[in-house]
Amino acid sequence: MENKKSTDKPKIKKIKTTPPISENGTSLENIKTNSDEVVLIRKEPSEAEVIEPQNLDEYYNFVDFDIDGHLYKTTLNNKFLNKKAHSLPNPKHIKAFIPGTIQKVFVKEKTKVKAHEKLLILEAMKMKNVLFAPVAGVVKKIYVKQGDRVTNKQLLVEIL
Amino acid sequence: MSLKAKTIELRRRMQDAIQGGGQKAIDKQTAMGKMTARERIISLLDPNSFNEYDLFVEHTARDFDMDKKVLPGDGVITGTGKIGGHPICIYAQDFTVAGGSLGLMHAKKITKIMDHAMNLKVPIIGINDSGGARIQEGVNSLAGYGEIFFRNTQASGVIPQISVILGPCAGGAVYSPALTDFVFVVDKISKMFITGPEVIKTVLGEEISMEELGGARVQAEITGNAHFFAKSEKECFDQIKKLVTYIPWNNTKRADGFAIKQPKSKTYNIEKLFPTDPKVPYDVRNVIKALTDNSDFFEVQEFFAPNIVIGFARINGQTIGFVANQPLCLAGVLDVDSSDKAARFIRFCDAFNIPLITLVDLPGYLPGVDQEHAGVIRHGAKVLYAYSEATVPKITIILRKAYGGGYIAMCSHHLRADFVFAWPTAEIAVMGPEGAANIIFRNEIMSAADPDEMRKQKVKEYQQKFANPYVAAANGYVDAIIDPKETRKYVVHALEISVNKSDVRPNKKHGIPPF
Repeated sequence: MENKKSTDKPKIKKIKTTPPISENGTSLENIKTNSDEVVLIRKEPSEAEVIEPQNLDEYYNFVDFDIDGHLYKTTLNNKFLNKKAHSLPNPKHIKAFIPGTIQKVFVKEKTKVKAHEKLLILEAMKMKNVLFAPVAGVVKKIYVKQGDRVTNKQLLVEIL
Repeated sequence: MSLKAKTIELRRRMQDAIQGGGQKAIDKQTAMGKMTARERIISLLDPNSFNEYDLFVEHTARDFDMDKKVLPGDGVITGTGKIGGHPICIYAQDFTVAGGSLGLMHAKKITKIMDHAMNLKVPIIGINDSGGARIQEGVNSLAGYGEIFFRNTQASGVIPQISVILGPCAGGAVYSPALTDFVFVVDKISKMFITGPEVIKTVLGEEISMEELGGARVQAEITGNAHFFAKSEKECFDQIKKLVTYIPWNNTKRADGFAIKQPKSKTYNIEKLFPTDPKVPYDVRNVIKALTDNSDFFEVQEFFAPNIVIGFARINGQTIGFVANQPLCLAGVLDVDSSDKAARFIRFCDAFNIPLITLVDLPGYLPGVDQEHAGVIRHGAKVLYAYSEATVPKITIILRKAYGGGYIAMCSHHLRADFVFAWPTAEIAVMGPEGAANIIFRNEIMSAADPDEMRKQKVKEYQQKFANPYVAAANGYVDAIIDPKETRKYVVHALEISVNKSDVRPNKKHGIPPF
């Protein structure tokens, strides 16, 4: 929707459609954060102007896009660029599943917990949600205290 | 009292009611850059074509001192009129009267004009500008919404329904537009959401502005709730006027015919605008314009899922619905959003007797965890369902790639396309040459002295043998392989001879599409 054109010629990066599964950065995120290098916003040609394929590079910032081993020259829309890479969930990281307030913390750091033991209460949408330990272990770190407001997917407790 | 005196009395009463919420409220509306409800109706309809009804309706609320309040017209203007000579029913919520809030009588005015539209078999246009339910009227207000939603559903596929969002449209109110066929939004004026920023902040602690949450750009680009985006109300009305020329009055009619015009073939020259290498991008809209009358193309949902292009055009003076993969974005893949976008449009065209032309050039479905988890199976199935269900004339032109499931989904013969044409550049195959060679010749490649060289050789081998339209044509899956320059000729012929098409589907109450 916005008409932006970077004056410098953008560097074309090769990216895969499926980013590698990892906890940290992926090729996709690199593109997102490094917006100086790759600006992928459509620049509409004026209506009277019809661009021949060989001149499209002046109007669009193309990337090589991998589908089934084929690299296609194309653009990526904002929605695609803003998507989050998938990461494997770590059962030892207890995260908030909804934004809310920590109402109570039952455990202390460096103590043992059994599987299914109560860890804390996360109050959200007028409901008191009890979070249980998914596995037995030692509480390595508690990142929140009673009364803290937490965002969705925020790390609350780590179990060793 | 003489007739004259009675007429003067009528004029006086009308004058009072027409003022809506009064000058102060009107000034406030204008300051927000918005037209008043009445101005909107006047600018949208043909001059002097508006007849208003129910001007003297009064609200019936008695609680919370509402009995002392006068709400002219109860906050909504309803009537009939014409757009480009087309009869239509229309209502416009008046934000100057109690914030356009919806009470029982307000809703009754809307449902009455909707019932009219259904009986008269003409399109209904609703201009939404309302703070939401009138809290003082409690459950009666909710009842009002429910009655509107029921009528939207009844009217769906019978008369075209158009929603114009020219102000806030929040909470339950959003579901009437969502049930209608086309939603128009205007930058910085339209706002749609189920729960607003205030609630989100108190309940979830997340801060967001109205614009970022559900402004016109968000609805047009991210959510796909809106079909047309305009920078001003005037531009929005021009879009509506244009749309009305492309669609019929109701599902028993065809859209108006227009004088035949030839495409601007000098500007839209397929030879120049179409690269034969399947990996090189081009704008498929130029191919559409090379086929259509006067090279006009009226795009729907331009900013949402740009990897598929949908919209209306005319060929030989008749309205056509186009569905085309767009190699310019995401290589033209099908994904969750583009499937939803195409499927809904196909169903609209089928319901309103608009023939469909499908231009195929896609590498398949978008791979990715997010896509699978977002239900690309269920959403992708909508395209298969919509094409299989459609009984209007269906013409498919395979331009370049038609691989795998994407080939089947894009109105192949198997989904009952009437005519499938392929350009000599078409590659109809189970998958792209690289992928296919890697699987079929896995052993040869792995055991070769130089696997990369062997892979290249095998890819080339596969390409020569299968990356063409002739294998599909040999099986009768493609009706004709045509010279791209002659496409319009073939399409015009196909449309002419399909004019009496009648395709019968099994009798049923309704199907169960993968919503």
